[in-house]
Amino acid sequence: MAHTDAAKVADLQFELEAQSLKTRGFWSDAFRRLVRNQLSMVGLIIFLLLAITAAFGPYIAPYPYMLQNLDRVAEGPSLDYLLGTDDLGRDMLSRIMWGARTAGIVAIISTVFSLTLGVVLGGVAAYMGSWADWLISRAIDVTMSIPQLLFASLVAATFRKPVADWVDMMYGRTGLEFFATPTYVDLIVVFGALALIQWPGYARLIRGQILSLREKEFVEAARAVGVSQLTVLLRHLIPNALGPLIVAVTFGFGGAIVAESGLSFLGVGVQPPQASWGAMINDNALSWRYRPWLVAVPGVTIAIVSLGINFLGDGLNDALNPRQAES
Amino acid sequence: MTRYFMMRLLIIIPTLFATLMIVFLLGYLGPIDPVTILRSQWAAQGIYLNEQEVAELRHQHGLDRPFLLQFSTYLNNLLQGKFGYSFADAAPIWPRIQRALPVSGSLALGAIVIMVVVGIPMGILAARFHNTRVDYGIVGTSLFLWSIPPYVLVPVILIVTVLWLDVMNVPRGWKGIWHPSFFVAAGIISLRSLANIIRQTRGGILEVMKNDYVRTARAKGLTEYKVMARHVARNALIPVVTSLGLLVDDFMWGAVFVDLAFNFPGLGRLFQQGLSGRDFNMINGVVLFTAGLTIAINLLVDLIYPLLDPRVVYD
Repeated sequence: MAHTDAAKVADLQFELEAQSLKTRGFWSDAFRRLVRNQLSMVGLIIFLLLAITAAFGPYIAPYPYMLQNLDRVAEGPSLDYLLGTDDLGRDMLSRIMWGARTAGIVAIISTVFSLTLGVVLGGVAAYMGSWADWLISRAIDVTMSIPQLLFASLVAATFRKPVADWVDMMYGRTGLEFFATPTYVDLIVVFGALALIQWPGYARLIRGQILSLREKEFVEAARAVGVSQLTVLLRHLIPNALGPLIVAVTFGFGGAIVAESGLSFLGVGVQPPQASWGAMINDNALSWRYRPWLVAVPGVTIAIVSLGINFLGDGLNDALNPRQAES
Repeated sequence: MTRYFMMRLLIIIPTLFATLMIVFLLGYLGPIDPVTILRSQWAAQGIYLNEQEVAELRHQHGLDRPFLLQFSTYLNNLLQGKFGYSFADAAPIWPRIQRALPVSGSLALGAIVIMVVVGIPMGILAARFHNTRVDYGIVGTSLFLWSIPPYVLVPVILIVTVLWLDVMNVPRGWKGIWHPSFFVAAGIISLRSLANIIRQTRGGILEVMKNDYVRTARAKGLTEYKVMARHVARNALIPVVTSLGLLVDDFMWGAVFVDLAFNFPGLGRLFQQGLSGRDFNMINGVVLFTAGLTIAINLLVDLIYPLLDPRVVYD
């Protein structure tokens, strides 16, 4: 009898385990995997720091980003100026904090633009097939055949003046304060340029995901028992495509920050005196021999942010796509 | 195969055409009018043009003609190998690209050599020691290097090597491929693709190693080297070949900044010069050239597939 008791207990334990397993869904499993990964936690902290600085930086920055102190030009780090001052006597720490806002806004809005465009076009291509698929696939090919950095800077250089004219016209017509500052011109141009180079990646991902998921047995089964097209989409296709998409968006977010700084470095992104990390490197590039910190501070900031976001993306990839991560 | 090749070539035509159209349209919409530039250049030399002369000049350059006519002229010129003239100094653009090619070409070759010689063995090593410290080290380092943009890496490397370690002088100008600056530059340019190759090789090998035929090969007593060389490597190379399609993109991403920092007269520098002078003809020339190169490489990649994997049949 002892034997059956033991078997019963084992059965009971198994059932309990099965139940506790059942209550842990895919997302909580993914969350556990993410938290266990130390590097991605470091990435998450860096990402949160960036988010906080982008949101509140201008309020907690010790100085305004344009304030010049001409008595303390090009100094090394000191108690007054924790990261030193630049050639124009502006506080580096404050400019880094304002630059975080630029980077954050650009990354969020250009990601939203390109994601929307990519998901809509990728979805249409996969669902409609035939000529729509052909057309959208060719559009993806064309956009991807032009080196991204070159394409983005060409677009940014071309559309700056038309956008500036348009903003001017809107100011004349509406008199809104919003259109009075040239900052928005830079930002609109950069959003457009980045969205244009990033959408093909998302579109290709979504198209591929939908096409491959549609052929899977569980979708076929759902169809066979009479689940409607919409429910299949909402219940089966979207949740399954979400994992890879979240990973792609994370990497795309980091890519947007790096690309914005790259454009600003080349002089076709955010214009001075507005603070952008890339422009800060370029402003001080000539004096790197004499005042290396002026180049190193924004450079290291970009590197840390980019690294953090990519670590987070990598961790998310392992957490959300476990089958791929195992291999 | 021939049929596939023909189809592939046929598809290239609309792709190339659309690319040309986009690039031309961007130049056409561009805020800078070449005649205005000419006018200001001549004015600087004391030659002032009146409205009528400007209109004449515009007519000479065909700028008063409708868009489609201008585009067809542009296409016609391109077919004859004419990329147009620089706005900045009225010099033809194609000879400049030709002169930049040896520099950029040797940098690209250097980067590819680094990629193959370092990247593929690293990827194999990481896969071989999967989930050990070696693997984590290699994968972590490649992610690290992939994350840092070249415009950060270049000044940081300069600060470290020139100011702190004092191992080299400030590299300015092109001093041939045996100068240390070449190796540093090629190294920086290769980093992005290097990380990609390591990742692809590692992933590809791990994927292939799961297959039954690898177990069979081991079970019948093949040496580990033969298993890898005969059964694993060829299949694992497929994703590596795919990632070659990104080569030009990765290369230009690094070259623009490296050429700028090291003052190399390469394609990146041409582009950057065009950009800072808003010389749209120059920008268009470089963009077109690199886009054409990308399309050609992608075609080549598609042609390599069936050599690696006989199951890939095109019809």
